[in-house]
Amino acid sequence: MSTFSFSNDVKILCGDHALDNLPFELRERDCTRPLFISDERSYRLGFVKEVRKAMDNDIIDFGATYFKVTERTCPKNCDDIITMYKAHGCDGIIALGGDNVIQCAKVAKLMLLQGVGDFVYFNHKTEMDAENAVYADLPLFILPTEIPSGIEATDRAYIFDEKNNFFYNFNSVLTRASAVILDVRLTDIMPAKVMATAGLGALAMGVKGFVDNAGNPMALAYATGAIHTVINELLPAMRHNSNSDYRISIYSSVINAGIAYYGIEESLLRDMTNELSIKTSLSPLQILSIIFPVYYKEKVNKDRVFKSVLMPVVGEEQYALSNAKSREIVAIDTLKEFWEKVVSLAEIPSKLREVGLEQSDFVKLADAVINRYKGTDPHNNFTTLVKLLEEAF
Amino acid sequence: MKNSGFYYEFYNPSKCTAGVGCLADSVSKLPSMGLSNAFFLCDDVEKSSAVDEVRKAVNAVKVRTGALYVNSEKTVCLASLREMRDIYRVNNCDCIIACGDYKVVNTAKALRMLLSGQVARFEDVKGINIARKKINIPLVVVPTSVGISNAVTSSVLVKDDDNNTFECVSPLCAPDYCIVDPSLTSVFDAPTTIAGALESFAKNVEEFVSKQAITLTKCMNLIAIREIRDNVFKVVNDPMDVQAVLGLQRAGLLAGACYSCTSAGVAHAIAGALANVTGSDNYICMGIVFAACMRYNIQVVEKDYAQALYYIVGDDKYAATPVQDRARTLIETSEKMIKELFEENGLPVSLSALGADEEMINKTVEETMKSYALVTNPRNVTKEDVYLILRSVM
Amino acid sequence: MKGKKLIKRWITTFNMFFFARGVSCCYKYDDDFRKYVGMLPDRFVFRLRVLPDGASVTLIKNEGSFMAKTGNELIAKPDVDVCFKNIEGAFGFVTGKKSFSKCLAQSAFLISGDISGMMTVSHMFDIVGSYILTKRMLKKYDRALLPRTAGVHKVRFFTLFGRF
Repeated sequence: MSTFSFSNDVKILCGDHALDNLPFELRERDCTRPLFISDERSYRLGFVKEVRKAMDNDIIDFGATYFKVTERTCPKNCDDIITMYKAHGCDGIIALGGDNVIQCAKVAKLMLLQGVGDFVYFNHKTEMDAENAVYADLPLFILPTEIPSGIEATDRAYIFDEKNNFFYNFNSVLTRASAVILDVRLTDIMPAKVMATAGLGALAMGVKGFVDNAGNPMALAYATGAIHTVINELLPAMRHNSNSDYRISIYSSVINAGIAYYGIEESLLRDMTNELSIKTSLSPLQILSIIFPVYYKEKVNKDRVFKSVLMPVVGEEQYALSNAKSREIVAIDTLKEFWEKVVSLAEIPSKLREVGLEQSDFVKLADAVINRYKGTDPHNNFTTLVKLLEEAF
Repeated sequence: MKNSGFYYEFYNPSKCTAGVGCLADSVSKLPSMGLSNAFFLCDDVEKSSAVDEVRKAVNAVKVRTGALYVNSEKTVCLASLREMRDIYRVNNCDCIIACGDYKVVNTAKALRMLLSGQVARFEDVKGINIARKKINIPLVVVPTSVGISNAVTSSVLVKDDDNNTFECVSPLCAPDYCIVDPSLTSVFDAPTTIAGALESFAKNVEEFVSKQAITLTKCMNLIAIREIRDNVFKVVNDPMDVQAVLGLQRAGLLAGACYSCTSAGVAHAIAGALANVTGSDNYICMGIVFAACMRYNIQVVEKDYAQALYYIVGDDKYAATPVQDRARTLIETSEKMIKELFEENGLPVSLSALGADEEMINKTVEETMKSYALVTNPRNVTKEDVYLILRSVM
Repeated sequence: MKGKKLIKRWITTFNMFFFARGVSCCYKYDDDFRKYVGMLPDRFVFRLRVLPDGASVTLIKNEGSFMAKTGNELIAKPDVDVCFKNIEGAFGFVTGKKSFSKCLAQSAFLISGDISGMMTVSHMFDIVGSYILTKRMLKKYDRALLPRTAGVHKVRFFTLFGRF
């Protein structure tokens, strides 16, 4: 039994009327003038109105509002948020929206805590650390809308600087949210396609989190819970997409899977997903939903831990009855079968070629991923990566 | 399950590190948390070398011992808390490091709440979520017992000056950092091991079937139950098996992490009340009533019990047990396991052996109904139910 | 920003008034309820209110008498002060959708004071719920139907019209 370490002090408020607890949580943290940031999409879909409604009955008002976060995160958003935060004397941040808003809010928090006034400060530095942080608390509340990305309750944040073509990868406790609030009212009825992407993305993150956290019972529980939920509830959630319980269940599994997945120090899968995400403008969840069966097919024979994945996938009954020697094979087969069923039912892309990627891009892509990857696994090399991409093509 | 109105809050504010020999590496991170002058709280220094080891490791990373307080109280009491608060302030300490068994950990939690919330009177923070953080006082706990499920929970029981016990629930009670190193575990006698294992086991089972249980907490509980099954007898047979001790401690950590979301259940309510009334140890009372409480809950959580059986008996026996018998088998197996452990160590297995009479039972019923643990029990518990449970183990 | 959700606030205040009457009624007619009141210490004051500045109900036990009243009269220090974190939680409770213990389990409250006293009141509230709500409602909202030792129609009648 090796040493494990686990830390995640993000409070998760999930379910019916969770949003109504936002004013209370703000008061608890002495936050009286929060900066409310969101994007145009959330505004148009009426989510901003829902948050305002939840705050209606309370003495707390927003210090300022910023609804100009762009569809793709960029350094300018972070700079604008910082300027606004300081100009209006805010004392906390509420981030409502998708991945773009959440990433910006997290990086803005880090910049405020480190006393950084301009994103230029980072100047092509990747892997920011909390070592020289000025310790103070800045309440950050994350309210994911539509589909969470899994990054909400983690220490990570990514910003892509399109102008300089540079990908910033922040990994610091200073980006950590105080609370993540998942409320039905902030989740619209989603088409089966979107639900399937979220579910498969969560499954991929869950399986990766499970395999790589075998010695960490806490992270293992997050991953197991996510796998179990997706396997049992994704298909009903796609069929009955007006059922908010299923929806919330899948969304919380994305967040839980994210905690296990983003907690892994170095991951080639994560680096590859990020690189493909930049290249194709798709979300990491969409990329994961495409490449994960190929990735695991490659891994299964090398990773004995994989046999334990069968447990959350098929449940105790089937696990107990299965042949102990071939559990990893059964696990990957069952996962693939499930993946094929979801893909065909939701008609989502199952190959990289369907998302506009060219085979000629692979060498450059693989090169970029290997350059970013800091892990020591010798198996994770250029050749295997290109092979994997070709197979997923 | 359409729009069932289910809502939960999950919050586990403590960072946990667990592993054999992880102490040195873990304490190296303390200076970055802003620790420099520590208030050391520990149990009997002479009996245990753990305190010395922890102090040495902490001093090596340039965190001074501002004050050392030896806590010998069985429960957390206000008088000693006031004394500790004064010592803390006089010595200008800036953090609390607690090293010892569950009593020391509980005291440290209460002290941190008192100091961090700048509370003048402890009576003002009685209740749930009342204490609010005014200043940051890091709390690091290094538990040295087998049962550590209380180490990362957000609640603490305190005895006031009139000897009344009251409960405080606040995130301020939860430590910032919990370092679990089984090589520091100093108390290796069988009853202590049984107490720790039983506490973790009962907590995990009750949390697993709690009304507020969610998939995440259920997974944590099942992993913990498996760890207990794998390690409890190893530790009883060979108390020096640090890997097995670590297994039990990991199970305790998992139970503690779920507690803020799920709370416990009727067994904890009855055991706590019974321990108060009879004056015996909580784990003995738990051992006596646990199976009866499981039987009481079985009609609403049969499926959950059946699922948990797998983690107790393993592949073959689980597959061989008919589906309809699995829940009952879990109860019987748990009962047998507890009985075996108790009888081998000469511990009482019934209320009559504990010396409880009818009057005590009635008093226990009344006390149980005041317990907060009943709130999340899967069945709505009435006085009559508690009485019948107690009569069944007479 | 202030003063919205008026309808919910009115309904909460209105229902809280009848809930307080229901409590007084159960004290008069239900034996089990009285047993729980007996478990409370003398001069015990319990207050249930909604944050911020919402409706409240106060239970006072004093020298053998027991009463429940609504309104925001200043009570310096109740023995147990239970505050709903927001109006939505309180609305769920006063409309019968959530029992007191369910609200407790879902962390809908801030509770100041002795938790054991609050648990006794929680059992008392469950008894009141068993009288005020119909069997169908109790089943729908997954609430326990506790044994009733008094006539349910009598309790409902006096809860509605007072003069008990």
